[in-house]
Amino acid sequence: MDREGRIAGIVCGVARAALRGAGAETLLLIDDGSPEAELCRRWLEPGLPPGAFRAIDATDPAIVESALQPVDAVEAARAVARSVAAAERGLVAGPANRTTLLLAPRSAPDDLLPLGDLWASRVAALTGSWSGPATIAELARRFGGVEHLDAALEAWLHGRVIDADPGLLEALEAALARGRSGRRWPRIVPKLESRTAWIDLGR
Amino acid sequence: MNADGVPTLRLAVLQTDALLEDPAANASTISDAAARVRADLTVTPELSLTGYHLEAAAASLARPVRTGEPIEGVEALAAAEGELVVGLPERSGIGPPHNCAAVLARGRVRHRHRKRYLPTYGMFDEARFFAPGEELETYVGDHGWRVGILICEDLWHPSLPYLLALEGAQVIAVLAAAAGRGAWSGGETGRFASWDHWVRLARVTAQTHGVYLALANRAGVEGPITFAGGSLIVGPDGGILAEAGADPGAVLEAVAERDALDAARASSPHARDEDPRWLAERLRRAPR
Repeated sequence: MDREGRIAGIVCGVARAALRGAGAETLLLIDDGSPEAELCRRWLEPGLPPGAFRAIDATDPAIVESALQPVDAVEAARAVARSVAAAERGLVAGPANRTTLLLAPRSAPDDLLPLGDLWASRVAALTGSWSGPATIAELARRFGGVEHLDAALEAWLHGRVIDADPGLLEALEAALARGRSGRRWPRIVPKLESRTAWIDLGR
Repeated sequence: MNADGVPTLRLAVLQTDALLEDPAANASTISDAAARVRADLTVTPELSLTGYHLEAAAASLARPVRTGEPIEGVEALAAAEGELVVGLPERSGIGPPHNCAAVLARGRVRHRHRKRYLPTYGMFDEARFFAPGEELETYVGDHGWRVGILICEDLWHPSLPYLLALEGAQVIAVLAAAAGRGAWSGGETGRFASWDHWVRLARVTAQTHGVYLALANRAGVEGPITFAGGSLIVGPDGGILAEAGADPGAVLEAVAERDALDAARASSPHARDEDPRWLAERLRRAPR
């Protein structure tokens, strides 16, 4: 089995178990038009039982009007997804990648995070690009590319020395501190690697 | 016995996917599968009767495991032929339960092993909910083979298979609930890089001590964890006799032969040449 098929199989297995465990019938993906959302859709739509996958399209201009308290398009999509999930026994899936989950404080309010153990650089390897808040994109640029930022995060996860200049290290540590608040609530992240947020990492 | 009158042992591994906290249902699944394979010794994964992530429920699900007695609530296991090795939390006194492997013959306990090394790092939290075992003994089954049991992390501590080998174990059964890790790189086995370590460990242990090794690993998903599957039966020369994929429900079978055991030990007589008295003396001086 190729790498993508292998990882998709694991993610879909966890998603099916999450639906069973929650007594839910539908997984509602917040489709923000990002490469991560596209990857989630590519894996989950064929990997879940027929009718069990549904995307809430945040790129549809009508989505904002359909949410009760719109903040932005993604938040509106999230509100719609939550509303549908409550009415239709569903779970909400968010497409955030592992890099974003570690560094962005408001990245993880969803029930299932299919890509939560997949670095942004690996999303890019599978889809050609990645997404994240502007602050993380800027941090990645300062590191010389998202793959270098991910390597630094990997080192941090394993308690190894991070090879970066002091200013950059300080920025990374500040981002990690901000990201910690986003990991307060337990979420389901399909475990792919040895150090996984919400499983191996303290909240 | 095979056709030439050489003693044999029909070994089986059931790679099950336990339902969390449902021992009766898991016992029924195991009993049905064991009845189909009709082996002399059938091994199931760690905590195969209850599922792995029990946390505080380990105490409420724990049952006494006493030699000669059945285990309460899993009577379905009495229907299995041969010996059946299952995993469950064991109630023992007023302390925390043990992570236990029970060897059942016709539904009654023949032997038990309490997990000695409880992983409490990374994703593991076993020492919070279980007490470590103090015993390590082999037993001889009705089939006439001497068997030792280990549970998951126990295999990673070389002292334990070593001690079983010193006691004369011919077969080591390992019950495991090893989570898959390293999915991006995949490893040699093709799904999780972490499973490569297990395969190496199983093969080296079998070859080093000249024993058959049956490794039953959990398959399926529990919460965010995907268990790696990949169960194995390894011969005393370190060769893989049977190997499962990742899917729950896989069944492995192999026939252990005394001749093969003797041949492996003759060509690699490392276990024979061990000097436990020297080791005991050296350990007395080892730093602690």
